Parts: sequence; structure tokens; C-alpha cells
Amino acid sequence: MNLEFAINKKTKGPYYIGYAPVACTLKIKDGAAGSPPVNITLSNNTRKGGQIEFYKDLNSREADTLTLPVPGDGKVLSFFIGGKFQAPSTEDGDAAINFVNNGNSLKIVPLMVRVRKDANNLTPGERDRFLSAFVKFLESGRYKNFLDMHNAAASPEIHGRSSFLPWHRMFVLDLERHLQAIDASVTIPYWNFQHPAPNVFTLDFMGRPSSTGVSALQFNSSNPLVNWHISGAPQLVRTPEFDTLTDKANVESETTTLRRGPNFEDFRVMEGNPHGSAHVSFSGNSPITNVTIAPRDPLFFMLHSNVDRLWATWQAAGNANDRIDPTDQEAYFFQGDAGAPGAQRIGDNVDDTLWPWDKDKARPRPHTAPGGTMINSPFTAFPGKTPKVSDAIDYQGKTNKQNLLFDYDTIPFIN
Amino acid sequence: MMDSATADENYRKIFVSSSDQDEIREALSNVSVLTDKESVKKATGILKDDKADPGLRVLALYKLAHAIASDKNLILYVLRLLKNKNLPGDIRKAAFSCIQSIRFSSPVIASVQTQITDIFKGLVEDKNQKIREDVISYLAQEKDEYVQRKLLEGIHEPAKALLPEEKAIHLLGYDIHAGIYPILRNIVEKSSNNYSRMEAIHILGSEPDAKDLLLKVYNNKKERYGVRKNSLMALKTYHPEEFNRVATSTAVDDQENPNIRAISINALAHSNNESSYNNPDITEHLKKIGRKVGSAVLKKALDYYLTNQGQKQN
Repeated sequence: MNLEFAINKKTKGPYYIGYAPVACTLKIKDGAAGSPPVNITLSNNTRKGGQIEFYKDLNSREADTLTLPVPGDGKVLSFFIGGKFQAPSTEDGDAAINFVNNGNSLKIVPLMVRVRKDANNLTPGERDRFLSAFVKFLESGRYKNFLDMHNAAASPEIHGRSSFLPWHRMFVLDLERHLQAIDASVTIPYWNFQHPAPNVFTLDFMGRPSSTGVSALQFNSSNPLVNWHISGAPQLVRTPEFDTLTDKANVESETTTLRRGPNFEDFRVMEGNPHGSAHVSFSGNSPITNVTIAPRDPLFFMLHSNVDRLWATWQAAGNANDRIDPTDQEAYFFQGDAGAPGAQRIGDNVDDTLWPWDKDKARPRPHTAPGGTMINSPFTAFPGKTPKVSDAIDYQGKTNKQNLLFDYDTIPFIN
Repeated sequence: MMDSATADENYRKIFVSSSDQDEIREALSNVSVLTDKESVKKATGILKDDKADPGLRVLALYKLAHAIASDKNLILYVLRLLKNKNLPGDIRKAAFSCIQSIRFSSPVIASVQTQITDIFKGLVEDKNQKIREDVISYLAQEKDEYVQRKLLEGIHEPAKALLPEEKAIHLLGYDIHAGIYPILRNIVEKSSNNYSRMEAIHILGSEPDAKDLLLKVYNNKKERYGVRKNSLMALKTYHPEEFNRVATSTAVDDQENPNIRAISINALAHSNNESSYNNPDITEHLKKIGRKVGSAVLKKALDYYLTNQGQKQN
């Protein structure tokens, strides 16, 4: 029996999923017209590595195994899979689905349950793959676009307004997909600045400042970041103003952040604290403290991965879908688009496209639009080339059935 | 969550209604950022009270960040706190940190940017070292010409230096002008300050004619490690063909410093150039020596290079 499996219409791996369910199909390629359905049981092939859950459809609960009546005549059967919460992969391909009929394994498909993790808890392999991909991307010359998307000219477009969180969610996703084009197993880990993170500020990871000279960051010679150099800039410095071994950054507690509410306009106050406060938890000679050059420090994206995780955590704590439905003012206050009467400045309304991916250089937008359109993922066409504010809100696709294909290790998908 | 929200509301009520200093301090410490009119008004009163306890004023400043970010007049007040040299250092440092922080979140910051720059320029000779270094760093990062002139003046006339020489050189690296190259060359070739030499060689890479100097420094195996490392990285960034040649030679030099060698192999492995990350001569040599390598960092760099053979770079 020739069984064909596909995720989002991709019939060949490698495959990568998060916790949010993705659409799959099964088909008996050598099926004959009039043949009866064949019962095929799907299960995890191993108890080690990433674990997968199965959904008959999006109205069903997840299950550890699923038996499907696959049409014997070659027609396609749809179902869904998602990563099991708190059981993500640590290596590429360490998860696998076993397709069994009458006790016989017909097919084993390896895949990866790929989620964003706490940078403090990464395995050495996860850490090094992330750093390598990041440095390779820097070496390609294209990271300059990301610097130009977050400079002095861009700042009024992306800070101090309602779209701060949606914009930065897309910004992090854009970089992450570029890194995944280099190494598909990589995600952007988060620096959990509201808790001590001693494993982050080490010679093998984000570096430690020298105790002499200008306190330039030091890395082990085998750390990919020893190659981190921005053309036209001095050596990277980052001098913490908190004890990185024992203390959190100089920010409010996670409890304080997450209890803001009940709606998005209350929550987004976190742009100041903990977001801004995390940035300035270092001395003034550190680029990460300066809004116009902060992405020169690779820690920037780990900081923003955590900012985004906090938003996602807050969204998950809402009632039903009130914090993830883009049409609900609790999830995002400014409805409509910039052309509507009484609308906010363009970029702040839920149906507005996001600069720079929309290539809009007309005032009041910045006069340049670096980087081009949003990069695609091999596994989803969402959000498309020119994302809107609304596309950033329901990132797991609970209301629109389209997810952005990223998840956090601390946030399950609850159907 | 509801309990936490209730606790926050209770602290807010205590803060607003209490006249007991200890109660006020405790409530302000525990409440989240202030956004309601009553709390903001009271906290602003504490912030502006010259007779209030400095620690309490700092706490009020911290909790008022959101209100300050939205209010041009409050931003200007915070700048006046920073400017006031008679205030305790903690209040002034908190004021600087507040300004830096709200630059990430304020919708009105652009309207006071000129005042920020002017006040920071007035503080470049401040007696408080932390404030002096922070404002100078900020201005240098913003490519401010006034601070660049001051930094250069300090290098030429050490008695006028605002910062240690190596820090001045480092900050001038944010906006490299051709006029600085002769000074940097002189420092690399003659200075006894190795921290300055490390910073200078890093920046010198951008000078088109500095390639020979970078090579000379790098090829001197008796040179200080940090200076050699920076010359190698400068070659990589600004003279990639020359870098490829020297790094390839270093990668197979079993007599070379293991850390320098590891950096070379590491850099080649992450290069965008296939002849760097997929070099058969390097591969063959590293495979031969693999098990005999004693240095952990060299072993790791070697393993990475060999493991990633043939992987397409994007």
C-alpha cells in the first residue's frame, strides 16, 4: 500500500509543526475505484523527542492516537496534527508519526515539534544552531534590512502606538523565517527578562563584558557570535546593570505585566515597562539601550521574543476568544482602516497594512521601506507578503484557521 | 489573576489616600505602573517635591514612566532633573534611564528630541562619571559632531580627556571620519595602551589602505591576543579576500594559538563564501588532526566545520 501523507499540501519533508494544529491529508496513492476504506492508526513512533497530538477535525479534542478510515479508492482524507504541549523537539526530526494498519507499520514520517523556548533552558545544540543561523544571516548582508527597519526614521512608525505589539510580532517572525531558511530547526528563543537567566549571559551564548578596556563583549572562540560585527560600528558592548547570575532585569514582575487588563489598550502599557525597561537594564554605552541602533545587539530579538510571549500569554488568559479575535475591541481597540472616518494614523487600525512589508513610503510613513515584502514559510501562505495588523493578533489561527506557525513552549493550543 | 488585580487596586487606593510615608512607599513599591489620574497626580507631586526623600522620588519617577512618555511637559521636567547638578546622583541617573526607556515607547518623544540633545551636550563634562559616560555614549551613537570633537580633543590632549582613551576611540567608531585614521594608525603602531590599540585596529579596518597594517599586526604571533583577534575580524569585515587567505592558512597551522585558530575556523565555517566553508584542503587537514586536538574550543570549531560541509548557505 502506497500511503501519501501531506502537511499543508507538502508531500515531502522535512516537516515542522508547533502546538497549533496544522492541516494534513492522507491518501492511498495506489487505491482502486470501489475499494473500501482502510483503517489506519496514527501514533507517535517514539516516546523520546517531540510528541504529536492528533485531531480528527478542528471541532474535536486532541488525542494521542487516531484511527482514520482512509478511502480505499485514492480519495484524500483530511485531519490535523499539532505538537503536544510541554513535549517539543530538541533536535530536528526527533518526532515521528507511525502509520499502522493491522499491526503493520506502513510508513514512519519524521518531523519536528518546533517552538520558541526559554533561552535560559536551551540545550547546547539548540543554542548553537540558533547562533549559527543568526551569524550566517548576518554574513549574508541581509540583516542590514532589519537594522534599517528599526532605526531613527522608523521609530515613530513602530513605537508609542497601538500597533507596537503587532508590528514587533511580525518583525520577530520575519527574522525567524529568514533564519529558518538557513536552518529550519531554529526558532528565536526568548530572553525571559522577568526571571534570572544565568545561562544566557555566558561566553558560549550572549557573551560577557570584559572587565577591562571598553568592556567589549567576550565570547568563547568557538561561539558563532565571535563573528558578530556590524560594518561601520565599533565592537559590541552590553554592560548589565543587574546581576545576570542571580537577578532579573530591572523590570516589573511577570505577574504585574500579565494582570493588566481587561483589554488590549490596558495591556499595551507594557511597551514602557517591562519592554523599555528591559532595553535600558544595561549601561548607556550598550547599543541595546538606544532605540535607533538596538538591533545591532543579537539579544534584541530574544528580548522581543519575550515581549511577544508576554502578549501571547495575556491573550491566552482571556475569556473564549476575546483577546485573539481581531474584530473584538478587547483584542485590539482600533477597528477598520485608516480610510474610515475617525480612524487613527495609518498603521494603527486593525485593517491597515504594516510598514515596511507593504512598501508604503507615503507620509506619514517613513520615507524608506527596507527589506521588501514578508518572507513566506514553506508550510503556510499566512500572513502573505503584506501583513495587516489583524494578521498578527490570532497567531494560532483559532478564529481564522490560519496560523503563523510559531508557538511558545509555555502556551498550549486549547481547542 | 483576579486576586493580583485586586491587590494592585488595593495598593493604588492606599497610595492615593494615605499620608503615612512608610505606607506610601510600600504601596508605590507594589503597585504597577501608574495610569489613573489620581495616582499620577499624587506621584507627580512626590517627584516634584524637592524636600521629598530621594529614594521615594526615584520610585515615583519609575512608576510614572507611562505618564511621562505621553506628556511633553513631564519629559521636559525629567530632563531638568537630569540637568540639575545639585540633585543626588540617584535621581539624576534615574532621570537618564527614564529618558532612554521612554524613547522606546513615547508617542511624543520626537517633539522634544532637540531639548534632549541640548541637555545631554551640556552634561558631557559632568562630574558624575556615570552620567558623563552615558550621555557621551548616547551622543556618539547619534553621531553628534560636538561630542566627536570633544572626544578627539581628549585623545590629542589627555588633560582634556572626558573618558579613558580606549573608550573615546570606541565611541568615535560609531561615525568614522577619514580624519581619524592617522591617529588610529599611530596608536596601533606606537601606543603602549593595548586597550586603545584593540579599539583602534577594529575601526581601522574601514580604511581602504589599512590592509597591510592589519596583516602585519595579525601575522605577528607575539602580538597581544585581543589585538590580533580584532585585526582578523577587521580583515573579515572589510577585506574578505585577504581574510579568506589568512584564515585558511591559520586553520591548518598546527602551531598557531588554539583560540586564534578556532576563531579562524569558526569564521570560515560561517562565511557566505563557499570556498571558505567548503574548502577541501581545510577539510582534509582537520579530519587528520581531529582526535589529537587538545583545546576544547578548537575541537568544537573543528567539529562544526566538518559537520556543516556541503550545507548550502543562503
